[in-house]
Order: sequence, then structure tokens, then C-alpha cells
Amino acid sequence: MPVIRRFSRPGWFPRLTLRGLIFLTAGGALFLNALVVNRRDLLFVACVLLAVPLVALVYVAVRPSRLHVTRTFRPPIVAAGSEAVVCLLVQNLSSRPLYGARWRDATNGATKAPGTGQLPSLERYEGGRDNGADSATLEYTILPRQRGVHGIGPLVLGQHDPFGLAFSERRVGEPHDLVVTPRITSLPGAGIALTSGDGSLHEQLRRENPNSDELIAREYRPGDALRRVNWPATARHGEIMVRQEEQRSNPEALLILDTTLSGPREHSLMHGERDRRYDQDFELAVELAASVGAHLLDGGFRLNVAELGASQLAPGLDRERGALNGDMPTAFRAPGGDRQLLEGLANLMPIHRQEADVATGASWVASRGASSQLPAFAILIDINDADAAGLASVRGHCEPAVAFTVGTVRRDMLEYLINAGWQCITVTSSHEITAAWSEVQQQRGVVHDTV
Amino acid sequence: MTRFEPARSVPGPRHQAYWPLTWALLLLLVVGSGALAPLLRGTGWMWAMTFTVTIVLISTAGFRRLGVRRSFVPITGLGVLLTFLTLVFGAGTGLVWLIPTPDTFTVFQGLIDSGIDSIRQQSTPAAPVAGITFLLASGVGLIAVLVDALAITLRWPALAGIPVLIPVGVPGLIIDGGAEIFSLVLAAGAFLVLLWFDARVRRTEEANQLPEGRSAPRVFARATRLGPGPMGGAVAVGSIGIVSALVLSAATPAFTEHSPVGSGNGSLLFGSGVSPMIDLGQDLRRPRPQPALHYTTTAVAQPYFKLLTLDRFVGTTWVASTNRINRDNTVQDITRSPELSKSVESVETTTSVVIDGVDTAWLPVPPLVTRVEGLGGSWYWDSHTRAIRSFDSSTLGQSYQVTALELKPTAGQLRDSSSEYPQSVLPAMDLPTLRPDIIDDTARAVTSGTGTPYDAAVALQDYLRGGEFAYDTDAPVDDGYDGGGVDVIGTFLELQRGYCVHFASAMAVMARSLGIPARVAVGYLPGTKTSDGVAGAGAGQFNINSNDLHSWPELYFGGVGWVSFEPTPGRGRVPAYARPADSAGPGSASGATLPTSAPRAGDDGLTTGGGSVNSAAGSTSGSDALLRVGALAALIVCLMGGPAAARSLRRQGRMRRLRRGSAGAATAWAELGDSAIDHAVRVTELETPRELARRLSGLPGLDGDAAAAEALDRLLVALERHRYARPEEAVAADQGADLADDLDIVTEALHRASDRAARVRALTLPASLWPAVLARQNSGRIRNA
Repeated sequence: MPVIRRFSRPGWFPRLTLRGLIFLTAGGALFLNALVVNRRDLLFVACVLLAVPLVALVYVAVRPSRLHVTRTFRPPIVAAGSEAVVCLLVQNLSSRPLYGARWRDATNGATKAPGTGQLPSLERYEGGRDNGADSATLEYTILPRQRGVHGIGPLVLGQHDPFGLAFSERRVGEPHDLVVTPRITSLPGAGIALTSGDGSLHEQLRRENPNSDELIAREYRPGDALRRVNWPATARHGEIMVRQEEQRSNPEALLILDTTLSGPREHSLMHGERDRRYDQDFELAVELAASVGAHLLDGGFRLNVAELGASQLAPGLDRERGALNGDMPTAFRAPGGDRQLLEGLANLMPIHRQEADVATGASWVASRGASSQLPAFAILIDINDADAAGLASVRGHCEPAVAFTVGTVRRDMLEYLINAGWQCITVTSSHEITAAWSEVQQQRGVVHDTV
Repeated sequence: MTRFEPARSVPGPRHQAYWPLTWALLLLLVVGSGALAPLLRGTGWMWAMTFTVTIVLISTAGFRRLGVRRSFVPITGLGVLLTFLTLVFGAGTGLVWLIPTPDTFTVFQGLIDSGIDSIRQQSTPAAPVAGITFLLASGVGLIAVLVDALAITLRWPALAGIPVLIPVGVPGLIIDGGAEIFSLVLAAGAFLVLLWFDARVRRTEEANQLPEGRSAPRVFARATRLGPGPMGGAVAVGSIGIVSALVLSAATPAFTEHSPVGSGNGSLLFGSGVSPMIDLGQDLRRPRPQPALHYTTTAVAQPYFKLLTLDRFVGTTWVASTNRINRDNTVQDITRSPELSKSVESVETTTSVVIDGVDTAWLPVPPLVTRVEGLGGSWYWDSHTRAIRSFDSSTLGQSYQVTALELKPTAGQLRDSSSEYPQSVLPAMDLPTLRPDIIDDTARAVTSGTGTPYDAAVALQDYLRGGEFAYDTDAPVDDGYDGGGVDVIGTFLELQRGYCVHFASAMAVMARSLGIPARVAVGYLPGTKTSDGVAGAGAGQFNINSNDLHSWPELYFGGVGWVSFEPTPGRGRVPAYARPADSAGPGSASGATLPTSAPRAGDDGLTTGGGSVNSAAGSTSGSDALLRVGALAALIVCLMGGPAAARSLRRQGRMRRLRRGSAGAATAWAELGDSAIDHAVRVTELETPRELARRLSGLPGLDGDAAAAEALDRLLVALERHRYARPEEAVAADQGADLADDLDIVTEALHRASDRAARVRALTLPASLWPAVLARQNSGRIRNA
């Protein structure tokens, strides 16, 4: 991720335009010439050429301008590759009208700068609401190509002097972060077919009251579909009740993310040689994770995301070992969870694993007990033997266990995982995500049939 | 919700936007051609130029409006210019008066030739004859086409200033000082107006051609301000720029005393004009004399330096005849005048001359030169007038030794000279037949009762030197009788005001009318002795400057030759042989001339007039330099004292408001904060007043000062009460004076407490000013006041 670069120069620092520079140069030459030939008239012309740009420089430097800028993004979170509208409300706070200024929004390199434009004349501060003649609304569309958190802004206000000799740029307001989430491919299927059970709570209830209709109705919560309303129970209770039997109480799923890329190519990461292919693979993996995760959350799962490296989704001191080494995975729940997940993934980057306590802790999955089996999806880029062993060790707690590999996983690791019972599906581009998911569902269908 | 309207206006026609540029160019060119005013008489030429510029610029703008392609517009502008010139100057030779024919170009050629000729011959201010007007109009028309192409077709309006420098700069090449500063300022202002209009046109253009498409920025604002932006900024920047340029150019000391090119000394002298006499007057009227030459001599009396002799009338005007210069007459050996009889006493003198500024083809030498050495180039002497002239080189930079005869005829010898003149001298008695009667009448009246030509000559000289005539270099110009022609002499004898040209010419003409051969010599007075001639190189050196230009009559006496007289009052030196005291002896001279000329008889050597003028000029140039240095110093002091003055004004204002009661504790505290900042105490807006007060009272110099601590405490309490008390318990208004006193105590204590450097900085560069000037990021004031 590129870091937002800040100018070391003070924001108000004025510059001469090309015209101003030519004025100064010509004026200086003429001045010397006039001194040598002793021509008072030329001397005056030279002095005008010298003095006016300098006065203009002072003018743009001291010219007061106080602005208030409010920046909003529409939508506030945007997926990579789709457009977002940046909306700036600029209000003149100074007691003088602002005229002839130019504006542009400073952006870092990840998004294309929108170019520069004229700021309409703003009357002096009126103190009223922000839609008076002292304010203007500026809008432009950006098309971020890469996921990440991009700083947009601050607004750069450029002002010329009246003769176009000097120019100063001044930063107004603060940069705002635009969260660009990974692209999501919507996956086929509802996700129900993935699990063998309905979730632990539901099973428990069913065990205790196998035939109760009463207990499977619950009160209405916002977000419940109308078709789920249990009209008999509603009539009985006097408030809207919802059938519960179709909803899993809290079905869970596990998403294992390879963020360390700790395979034999690790050296290239350590030395900071950014391999373009790795980068693309990582982006593909993040996109895959976002698609699968969003799909699972949409299907009603509580999603546990386990990162192989230190947790970036929910960083913490006790979460630096990697999920397979004993850290708690990060959990996301259906309402709002998809957004949290996408925001987290927007910032995800490959990190170096802390080698100190490899394989010391027990996996969370293993410590969870064998009460039920989790659907597990691993997204692997480049794993080492320890990762593979960890994955193999949790296989027993997972059903189904699907490993999406992005093509850079070593063949022996792949074979090891297949032998351990992981279903390995190789995805090499984002176009194959849908096909890969269909493959998973077909495999599950087969499994269901055989059970 | 108020309705937002898009800021972009309906895109108007593109060419519409260029009209302001056309008007600005028109203004610039008219103002620029106005800079030629010192060179030309009247205002007719100005109207011609303005009219041409207007026609050309309006028509190019019109063609642009009609949709002519941009690259063709300059060509159409040229066409319009040609048509206009054909109409106005073509004298009807054009087809339908408008379309130029070959005849038209012949007419134009004639106009150009006559214009160039009259530029060569006329001196400034010149009369704008048709040729000059044609040159001016066509020149400014071409400039207009060029400027239009630069500023509007190519959109480089800043470069359009370069062609305008031509009319603005030309006066500097011809006259001293160049164009008047007023017209320069006007031209600079017009140029800035052009730049301003251009910046506005660019904005309008950009606003009308917003990029379209999805990624283009969209701007929504209430379109309230439709007209041009506020003028304040442009006026402020422009006027400050021009005024500082004025100050700067006035305060810049000159490197060289006079310019090596352009209006150097002597470039006017016979350089261009046909009438040396008028040019001579021009040089005499120069406000600042410029050095012409300097010399050392062995002669007892410093010689006059003669450049040329005017010995012939063409029409009514004196001219120098140059046709008798023989290529065999080299300057190494100049034969002694054959008419000079051995009885006349003569002394051989040697004079070393170094030319400083004279630039002419005539060599300034003492009269009766016999040999010149050390000259560069080929120089020849005129066998009649003994003037020395070159056809291939100039006097500029020459340095040479002249051997000459100093003639000392006595009055008796002159009186006894025969009136039988040799054949070669006879043309020197010609006079134009049509001459004012006053010349002959005056000559006869003045010389009545004189017996010999010599006595008549002395009588004429005394008449002219007498009290009736006044030396005045300006009157002939003002009254329109400048020059030395016979008609001018008539006027001069009536008005009795004039300068050496008139006196010399009058005496020569009157002598001729009496039958005495006479001619007019033009040259230099002997000049002044170097003032700083203490010892060494400068000792015994004489300097001649342009104010020493002179002309005098020479009369012919048989057996002696050409003898100079000095009829100009207050200038030069009357030769010993022409003194009235001598001539009065034989009793034939008129007694009436004696009393008037007696006071002048004593001034042997140089008259005081020239000398005092020179010394006055020297002192003015000295005081000029002093003035310039003073202005520069004043500027520096102003610049350095500016911050201090601004700070002091702010402080005074606050104190006044405090004492008047119109401001309260907040103002007092703000002033305290500013003083603290001035004295290098860091004040942040994050501090509460109490924290600041605690830090202040803990400063090294303040902790022992009980009075200051109490005053500070009172200020703090007042501020806190002002801020936090209920409105009904607000502090009484008359508290302000007490606050001001307390403030004074604390500020003085602060001042005492800081070290010397901080004190000086607090006075000269108060730090509290900078936030007001520079820190305008929305952080607001530094102080928490």
C-alpha cells in the first residue's frame, strides 16, 4: 500500500508561473542592460518587470482565504472497480469574497486524480446555512482500481494573482479515507447445502423438544422476511412471531486466509522484492475471500476468519501467532458483518510471520471440541510445511473442507492437503471464482447424496 | 432547500471573449505611441497613429468575429493597414482610392524618403511633416498587426509588450532621458491592464469549455457574481508594482555618467541637422552639459577651438563650403597664411587635446593651426577657412597635438591695414540681396563717424556687447527666430535678445554690409580650468563641455588675415586688439560705447558666466547622487521600520480603546499575549489564561518583580471575570484605564526581563505580526483571546 506522501513545503508557499519567471528573467537582463547604457526609461521598464511579479508573489502569499470543506463519499464504501462520487461542500469563511481560485483534490497514487477546475466565486461568509452564495458544491467521480484505504484530500486551493504571474497552493481541510473493498463475485447457491447440520443451538432445542411447534416460533426482529411470519403463533401471542425452523440458530463457518505467504518464496517478501505475480495472487486471494465470506454471511453463517499470520482484521497483542497456532479467529455476524469483513479485507496485506513460536499453541478449531463439524474454506497462496500440517490437523473438525489455491501453492503441499482430505480447487483468475464455487457445490451435492 | 444552479454559463461564441483584449491592446498602443511626444511637435501625428491603430485592431477583431480563420487574421490586418494607408497617404493613386497600385507605392516610397530625410535633418521636437507622419502611421500599424497576432492569435499577450517597447524606447535613443516618466507609467499600466484582461479571458474561456464526461468535475454554486471579479487585487498589485518600480529606478545609481550609445555628447552636433547654428543652440540649451574635450596648452591666453567656418550664404542662411578641401592638404604641414605680414607678432604654441565626447567630422583646433600630430584617420584642411575635416573618421576618442600660431596684432596694425582685398576674399562680402533694411541701417548708424574698417568693426562689437542686448538661449526659440539667417538677424536686431549665433551672425552680416569681408566661426570657448588641479596630471588642464559651444565672427584685414571678434555679451574674451580702450586712443571711435563696455573691458580671460554655470551643474549632479542615496536609505529604513510601525499602531489602537473604555479585559489580554510572543515567550492556544500567567510570572526576570506580578494577577482576574462571570456582573466600563496601566507595567517588566537580542527583535521584528500575516490555515488566532 502506498503511503500518503506529504509535502514538506509549507502549504502557502507561493510560486511564480512561467510568465512570472519570464518577467523576472527579462527584467533582470533589461535592468543590467539599462544600467550599462544608462537609460532611465529602460531602467523603469526593467523595474516594472522585476517589481510586479514580486508584488504578485507577496499578494498570493498573504491573500487571506479561509474555507471550510466537508467531504463525503457516495457510496461511503466502494468496491474496487466501481465508481464513487466524491462530494465537496466548500464554504467561504473569510469576510472577503473568494474569486478566481482553482481547486483540486489531492489523492495518492491509487486513484486517478480528478484534475483541476475553477472554483466558482464565493461570496463572503454569510453565517447562514451551507447552501448560500458563500458556498459551492463540487463533485467528481473516481474509479478506484485497487482495494485499500485511499486518502482523498485535502482540498488544494490554488490562487493566481490578477495578472497570472504568481501562484500559490494552499491545503484546506483534512484528507479523508475512502475504503475501497475487494471486488465481490456473487456466488451461486444459498449456502444451505454446505452444512450437514443446522447449527448447534437448533440441534439442542430439537433434542429437548422434538415436536414442539411453540418453541420454534420467536418474536419478530427487524430484518425478518414477511414470509417467515408464523401467523398461528402471532395470533396466539398477540405480536408478530416468526417461524424459526428455517433459520439456523447460529451456524458457523471457518474461513482460513493465508496472509503470510510463508512458502519457500518467502525470501522475496523478506527482502521487499515485490513480485508482481505474488501481488496479483494475493489480490486474487483477497477477492476470493471476500466473495466466499460475503456469500457465507449472506447465507446466515457466523463467519470465523482465521488468518495464518498475525491478525490484521482485529489486531491485538494476543493475536499475533496466527489462527492455526492458537489465536482466536475473528468472527463476523450477518447484520453488518459483511461490511466489517470487506473493510477489514480492504486493508489486508501480506505480512511476515513471527517465527518465534511456530506450532506451539493448539488450533482454535481443535480446542473447540468435536461437538459439530464446521464448514471450512481455506484460501491459500503459498504455504509451508507447518501450515500444511496445521491444516491437516484441523481437517477432522471440518466438513466440508475446501482449499482454494491460487496456483502458486507447491505441488507437494497440494498433494499433502489432498491426502489429508482437503478438497483442493485451483483458481487462477477472478473469472474462475464462480466456476470454482459451483464445483464446491457439486461436490457437496455428491456428498449429500451418498450420506 | 435552496435551488442550486450550475455555475457554468451557456457557452457563448468564442470570439466574443477577445474583445476585452482588443480594447486593452488599443489602449496599450495609443499610450505607447504617446511616449513619442517629446520628439514631435503638435498632436496631429498622435491622432494619425491612434486612428491607424484603431482601424487595424477593430478590423482584425471584426474579421475574427466574422469567423475568419485565426491564422488568416493577421494577413487581413495587413491588408486593412495597406488599404488605410492608400486611402490616407496615397494621394488618390489607389484604385477606387483604396486598392494600392504601383503608383501608390511610388508615392509611398517618396513619403518614406522624405520622412527619413526630415528625420535626419530636423532636430527634436521635429515638425511632423507628411513623410514622418506616414512612417509613424505605417510603423504603428505594423506593430498593431504584430501585437494583435501575438496577443490574440497566439495568445501570448505578455509578449505583446515587446513591440510596444519600440515607440516607448525610441525617445531614449534620440533625446536625453528618454520618454517622459509619465507616459512610461501609463504604458506600464496599460500593459498590466492587458495582462489582467487576458487572465480574465482565460478564465472565461475555461469556464465555457468545461471538460465533459463522467470523470469531469461538476460544480454547483449559486451564480451570483456574473461580472468581472473584484478590481481591488489588480489595482493593488499593479499600483504597488509600478510605484516600487518608480522608486527603484529612481534610486538606482548610474554606472556610467553618460551613455556610450544614444544621445552621447556631440551626436547632435552637426550630426544630423543641416543647420549647424540651430544645432549649436540645441546643445547650448541642454540642461546638463556633457564633456566635450580637455586640453593643456603652452599659450598664454587659452585659445578658442574652431570647428568650422560658415563663409557662404545659401538662400538666406550661412553654410560652410567644403568643396575646397584638397586631398594634398594633409594636416602634418599647414602652410602659413600668405596674407600674414611678418610685422604682426605671432607666437608658436603647442596644445595637447583629448576628445571626450565630440563626435563630428570637423576637428576642434585653435585658429591658425600649422601642424596636427597624433590623429587617427585621414584629415585634410581647407585652404581658405583652415578648417580641418575628415571624410572617413570621427573626432570621437582622438587625442592629438596641435601646433598653432597665436596672433598678436596691435590696434594700430589693424587700423593701418589696406582695404584692398585679394580676389579670394571677395566672396566674403556677398550678402543676400533680399535682407531686412534694419541690418544696413543699424550698421550705418553704429559706425557713423568711424574712419577705418577696424574702427567700424570695434564699433559694431561694442554696440552688440552694450547693455541693449541680452544673452538668452531660449528667447529665439520661443519667439521663432532661431538660426543665423539674414531674416533672423533682422528680428534679432529688433528684439535684441539672442545667443552667440545671433551676435556673431549679426556682426558678420553688418560688417559685410559695410564692405568688410566677414564670416562666422563655430567652435568652442576655451573652457574652464580643472577645479581639482592640485598637482599632478590634472594640473593645468582645461575642460570644455557642451555649454562652451560658441560662434564668433571673423573679419578680414589686409596684411593680417582673418581676425576674430567677440560680440556676444557675457561670453568669451574680447581680444586685446579689439579692446575699446585701445581703439579709443586715436579718438576716432565713438565715445558713447565707452561707458557701457568699460566694465566688461576688465574681464580678461574667461567670463564668470560659463564658469558658474558649470560649477552649478556639477553641484546639481552631486546633489542628485546624494538624493538617490538618501531615497535608497529612506526606502530601506521604511522597509525595516514597517513591522515595528505596524506593531506599534496595533498596540496604540488597543491602548486607546482600553482607555476609552470601548474594549475590555479580552483586548488587554490579547495585547499581553502579543507582547509575550514579541519577547520570544511561546504562547499556545491550548493554554488557559491562568496557565499563561503562571508561566509569565515564572520567567527569570519577572519572578522577583512584585509590582508586575500583582498587575499580571489583576489582568488575569479581569479576564476571567470577563469570560466566566454572569453577564449582569459584568465589569464596569471604566476599568479599562486601570487595565491599560497594568498592561504597561507587565509589558515593561517583560521587556526588562528579556535579553538584548530579544528586545531588539521585539522592537524591529515583532513575532506577533507573523501569525496575522502568514498563518491563515484555518487554525485561527494563536492566542486564546
